[in-house]
Amino acid sequence: MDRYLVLIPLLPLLASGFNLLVSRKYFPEKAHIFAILSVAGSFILSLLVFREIYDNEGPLHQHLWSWIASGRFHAEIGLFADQLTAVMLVMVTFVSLLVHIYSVGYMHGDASFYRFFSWLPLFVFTMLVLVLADNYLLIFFGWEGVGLCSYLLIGYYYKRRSAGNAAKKAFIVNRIGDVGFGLGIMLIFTTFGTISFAGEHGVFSELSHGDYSTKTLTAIGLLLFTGAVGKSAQFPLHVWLPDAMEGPTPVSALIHAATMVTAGIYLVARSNPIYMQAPDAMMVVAVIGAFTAFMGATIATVQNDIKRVVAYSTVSQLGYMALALGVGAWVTAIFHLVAHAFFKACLFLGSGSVIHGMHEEQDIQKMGGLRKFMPITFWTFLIASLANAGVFPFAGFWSKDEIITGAWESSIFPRFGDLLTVVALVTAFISAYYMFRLVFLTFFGKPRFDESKIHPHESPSIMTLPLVILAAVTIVFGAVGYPPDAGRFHKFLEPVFATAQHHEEAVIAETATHEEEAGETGAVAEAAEHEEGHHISNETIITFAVISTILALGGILLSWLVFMKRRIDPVAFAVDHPGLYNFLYKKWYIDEVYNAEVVFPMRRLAMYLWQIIDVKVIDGTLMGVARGFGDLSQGLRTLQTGLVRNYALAIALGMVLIIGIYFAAFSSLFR
Amino acid sequence: METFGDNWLIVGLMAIAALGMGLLLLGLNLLIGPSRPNKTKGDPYESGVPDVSPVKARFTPRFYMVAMLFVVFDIEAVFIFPWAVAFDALGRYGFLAMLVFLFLLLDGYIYAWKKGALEWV
Amino acid sequence: MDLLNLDLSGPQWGLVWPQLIVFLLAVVLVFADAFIPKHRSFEMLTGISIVGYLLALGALYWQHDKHAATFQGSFRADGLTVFLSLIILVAAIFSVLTSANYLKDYGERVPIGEYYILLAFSVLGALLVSSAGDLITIFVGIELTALATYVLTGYTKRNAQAVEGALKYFLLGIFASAILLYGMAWAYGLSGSTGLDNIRANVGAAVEGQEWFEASVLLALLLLIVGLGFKIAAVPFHMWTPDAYEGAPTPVTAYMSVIPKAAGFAAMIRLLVQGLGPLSEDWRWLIAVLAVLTMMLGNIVALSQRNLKRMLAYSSIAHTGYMMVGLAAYREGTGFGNDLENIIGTRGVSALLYYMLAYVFMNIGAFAVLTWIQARGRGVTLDDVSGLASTDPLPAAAMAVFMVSLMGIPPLIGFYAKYYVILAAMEADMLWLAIAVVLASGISAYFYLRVVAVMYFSSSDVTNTRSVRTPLLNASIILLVIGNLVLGLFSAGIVDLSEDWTNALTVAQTTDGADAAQVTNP
Repeated sequence: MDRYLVLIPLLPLLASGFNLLVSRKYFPEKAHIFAILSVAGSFILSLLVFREIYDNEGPLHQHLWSWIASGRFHAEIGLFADQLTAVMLVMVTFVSLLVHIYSVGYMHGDASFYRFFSWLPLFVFTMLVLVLADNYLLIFFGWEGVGLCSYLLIGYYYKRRSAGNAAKKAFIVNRIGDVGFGLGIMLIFTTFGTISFAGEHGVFSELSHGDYSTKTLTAIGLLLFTGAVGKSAQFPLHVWLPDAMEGPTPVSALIHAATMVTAGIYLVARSNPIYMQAPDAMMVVAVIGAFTAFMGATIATVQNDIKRVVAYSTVSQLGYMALALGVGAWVTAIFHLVAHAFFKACLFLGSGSVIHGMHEEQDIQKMGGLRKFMPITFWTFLIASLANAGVFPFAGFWSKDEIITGAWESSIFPRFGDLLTVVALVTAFISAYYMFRLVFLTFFGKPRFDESKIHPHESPSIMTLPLVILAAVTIVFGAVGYPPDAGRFHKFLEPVFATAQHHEEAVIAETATHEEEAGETGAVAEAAEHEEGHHISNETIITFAVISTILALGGILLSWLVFMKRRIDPVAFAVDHPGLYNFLYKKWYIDEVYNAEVVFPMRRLAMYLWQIIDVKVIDGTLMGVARGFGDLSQGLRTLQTGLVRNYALAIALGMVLIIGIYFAAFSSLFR
Repeated sequence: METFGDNWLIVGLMAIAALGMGLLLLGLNLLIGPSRPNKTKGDPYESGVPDVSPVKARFTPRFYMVAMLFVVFDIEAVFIFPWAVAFDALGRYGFLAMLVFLFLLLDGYIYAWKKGALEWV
Repeated sequence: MDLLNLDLSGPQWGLVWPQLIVFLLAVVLVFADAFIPKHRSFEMLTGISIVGYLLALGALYWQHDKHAATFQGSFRADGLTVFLSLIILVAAIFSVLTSANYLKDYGERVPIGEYYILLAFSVLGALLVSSAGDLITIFVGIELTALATYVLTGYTKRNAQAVEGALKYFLLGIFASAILLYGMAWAYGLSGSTGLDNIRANVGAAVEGQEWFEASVLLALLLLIVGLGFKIAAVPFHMWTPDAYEGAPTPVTAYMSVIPKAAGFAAMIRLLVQGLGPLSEDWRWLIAVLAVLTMMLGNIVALSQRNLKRMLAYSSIAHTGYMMVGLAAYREGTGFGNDLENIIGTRGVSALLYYMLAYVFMNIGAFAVLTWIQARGRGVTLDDVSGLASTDPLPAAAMAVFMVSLMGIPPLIGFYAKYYVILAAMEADMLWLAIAVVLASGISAYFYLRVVAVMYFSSSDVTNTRSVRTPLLNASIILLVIGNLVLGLFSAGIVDLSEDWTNALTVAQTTDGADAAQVTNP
């Protein structure tokens, strides 16, 4: 199978190229066929890869070719698939396939249908390269590739000014993170002498053999996380993601919810051996993650655009994942990543279906009572919302619960654990509240739109089918994670993080020894418990399950009281507390702060640089140099007289000069 | 056994004979032939072409064609003579090599022929 | 009579197949042109040529791991032969593809057959140089290439400019050949052998401590560099280039900017590295200085050219400079002999070889697009390509690719070529040379990008174009664009192949009898 790994990303690339070059001209209406077939092919191959890895437990490695080989620097192009990759592969190709199918209905009748179905497989290609790469440089290629595709697809409706701006914003904000990522790769190369992480001489095996300074590893970890902050929309670089909703809704579902934004999480999880030796970096990851989760959830409570609510919910959930990574609950992070991919794709596709049925209306204040017009959309949306709110037994419940217990049990920085747990629990409550605010306002109550003008209708079956499939997966997916922390999913992924766990235990043991010396017996017992095999006690798990379920139900209840029973008037509340409301509605004023503190000064600086430095100093110098070369060129031109005797003279003179100089300067004959 | 000197003696005799023959013929010419010089007869011999003519005279390219073909076959002869002398020693390989050479010459000859280089148009 | 005791047992024909195939191709073409009726000759001769070169390429594959010599050591089948032959044959195929439609368009006025015949002989000459193990073979190969190229330059004989260019090229060419031959004579006289391996051994052994001998060797060396400097168009022996390039028909220019240059560099590597490698400390400084002069002058004068063919002529001079950097990065330790241990700069020659391959794709590509434009009745000045992107977007895009590649921008092949050359210069501790390459590339950006800018941002005022079909030319342009895009990505593999050249430095086994000219000191 390892010889066919390359086919997985190649198929969508071929489809993309074919659609761009051939379909465009000859059958622009049929472009989706090639895209869907290719992604389906990738999906089947991914399943085969998954099965093989599941059976053999050994990673697959395919070396494709050497790109540059010069001196110490070797850039090899190779694909690598271990358990983590296998999970990502199946998730990416599965969601991609469903979104492709859904898009056939959603994009029907679009003027540049073929263009959509050229960029979408191209995105799948770059995303698959990202997860299949066996070195950081190739990851970087995929990373930039998904960024480019995201840019192209956000700005898909390029005639809309806001779409163009959102695309630019996404690209520029991501660049800031990419700089960090790029620097991180360079630091990895100078530290380890290689950029490949897999294989015998890869970074990870170097790491386990050699002794590297914690400071360097922390720096690498922080730089890589900078990249992840940009791509996975963590505070403070999350601002692009809500704006990215300008793209077509299937794009939001695929790129800005299920796959691309999880690339940062994947990167950190992939680099887990580095992070395990850099606890400070992990703390930063955890804190930023927790903060992002809280912030995203609060903003989502007051937004009125259906897609924006879901987008901020995505930001919040990504924060959860980062939190899980930061506290060392690696498997849990990936578990939540996959679960989130399913239910968030379902939510986005569902909102797309609502928008489609409502004739491009996106304001939830102008909806209501859609339950009876679009029953399938309603039920699937409800299931996904329950999962997002973390209600038993849906996929989101299991993973979110594990993150909270993970934070509680975190051994890396014990003092922070409590605070993080509280934040996570509060966020869980808010999540349930905003999710059901969305459900109630959209699907329940009386219609708040003009029923004589707008006639909501259920979407065609090509759009509802993916919804049903995703909802079904959302219901059953939790089962692979049962029992918590020891489910099939965890057993499967454990080898990837084996070194990490091992190291963690070593750290704990060391701490324990220190504390033992200090005479604290309690810590010894705790450490001993960890040494038994890193299993969290059932009491803890059940306690937190109960707490979080109560909180989630509480959130739903509050939402019900506010929006169904109208016990609390949200409008009056907003009027009474204008500060809080505006703070949340304006998204914590982060965009405004950026405008005032970053964009405006930068613009001033740019004006200065342009008018003074650039025009006068640099242009002046450059123009001078250029004019100098121009004059020189004109002068030297005249040497070319066109007379053959002058040419011969040049040869003869050159010869005489060379021989003369050499004999005078280098030969010992005349000394 | 011949010595170094003997070889050169033959060469010396040969040179003397050649020189003598030339002198002899010229002398006989001087003695026997009638001598009625005029301007044309006094000019250097130039194969019947006027020895003094305008500098920008044009020759028909046919001359060049013939001259070049002549050079080719002349060189061929120069190459074949020493080969013929050492034919025994060169053996089968030498024979084949000369065949290849002649084949190439033939190739060029046929080409020139087909392209009309041999026709005095 | 020692002469007749020569062991003349047959050579190993198995080693010479690629060269032999091209030779047979030339012979077949002569016959074919003589006998095929005129109205069929274009298709037949084009077909025969392409098939012939492809067969030779195929035969080259079987040579790839050989390390042997035959014909009394005057023919070498080694890694260097393989890579150089690869470059030359690829260039030959693209030359045929590029020129075919142009020739047909010229129709009755030019003899099509002669073009292919001369091309074949010229390619054969270049192949001979690249596989030479002997001064004589080098000279014969160089002259075979050059003579055919002189004629090709003046191929459109009713065009006064073409004839002028050809005559200049010829006159200066024989002048340079004389210098080269003089240098060879000195080398032979000093070492007592024309075989490169023997020269290496003898010159190396004899130089130490003998002042007059050292001076003579230096003289031989310098004469050789001057003679070959003309062939590769290095400053100050470059004067013929612009006139000859401009005068020649555009496809011929494409060809002559690549194959004779490849032959010249092949001879340089064979002579300087394989034959006179022990003197590398003497010649590499000269090569380095000439390289800087060449790239600077080429790029600077190219700035003020409005005729694209002349511009590309100067650009090709500049690229000669970049390639010479690779040669200048070759360093052999002070110890003489065949000790490969103390050679540091083998990567410089690999970089040069890779650069030549890249150059084939970039330069023939640029000239192919010019041919395409000319075939449609336009000229070759900047004004003629103005606004090309709006009227003919695909050729304009191809031209942009070639220009940017010549400039050396990733991910195109030109970038990788420069990258390896710069790297080699730095490894040889010649940082200043690396900086010079970067600066020269900076200057070159102006005139390459100007072409792109004019094509894309100016309006078209050319109206009287005609529409013709040029399928072969289009195919070659597409292949060249793909080559530019793709070959960089696989550069590591290609460079690996070119690293095989180092086995040219060791004496190859001659299995066919004793070496004719045994080592004898003067």
